[in-house]
Amino acid sequence: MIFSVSGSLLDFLVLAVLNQEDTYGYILTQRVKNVIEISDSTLYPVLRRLMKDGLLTTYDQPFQGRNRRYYSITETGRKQLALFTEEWEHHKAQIDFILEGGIRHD
Amino acid sequence: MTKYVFLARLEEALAALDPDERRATLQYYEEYFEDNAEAADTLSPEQIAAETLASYGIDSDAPQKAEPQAVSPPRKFPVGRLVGGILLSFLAVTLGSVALGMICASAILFVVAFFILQLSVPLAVTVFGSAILALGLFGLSLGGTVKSVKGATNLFKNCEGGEAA
Repeated sequence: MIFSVSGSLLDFLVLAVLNQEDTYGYILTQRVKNVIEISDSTLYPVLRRLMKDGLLTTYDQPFQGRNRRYYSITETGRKQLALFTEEWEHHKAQIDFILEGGIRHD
Repeated sequence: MTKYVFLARLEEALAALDPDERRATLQYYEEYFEDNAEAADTLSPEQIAAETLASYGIDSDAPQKAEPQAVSPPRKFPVGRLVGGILLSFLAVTLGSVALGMICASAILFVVAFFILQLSVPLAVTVFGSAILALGLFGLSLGGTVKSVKGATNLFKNCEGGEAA
């Protein structure tokens, strides 16, 4: 990955993945790793912050005698995801505009 | 290292953290290692602790904003280009009028010189010279007009394109 992914973009990706289905830390990290290079410890602070802002909640599910903590997107989280998506579309359009040499294809 | 050593070191390194937050962090990584034991070899407990403490340090001072940051500057209408284009248009019109006047004057002076030739040669030469002068001025103002028109067209075209210079 040539372009660095951090901050808001990571939040965006995490919300997008959780919007598809609830999942736990390891699977979430694997899914994001499919798209961008992150370390195994990258997502924990992201998840904690998103929880603190009320965009995610968690619940525990027992699995093979131990616990698994699942992360779930909230309604506020969905609204934020919609905001991010809109910003992303705009950002993409701006980049494409520059790549096309500043000529609009209306 | 084994995950037990890892978690023990992580717990130590997180001593400064609130007990509930510390427990949550340890739980996250304990679970993570259940699914991915190799991660305990590639990660450093001290580094994770540092990152975790840093993120708590930032959060405890001010709440994180939920709104996404603006990813691009707001689009501005390029007023500068529009004004420049208008000014150059005025200049083009002015110079164009001068050019038109000059070519007419030059033509008239050539004709007059021809007629005066029969009356007085020196006078005819003078008028002829003026005609050449007018012709030269026509050339200059024509060149200026063309440049102004080109410049104005450029500026107006780039207004359509987007951001201000």
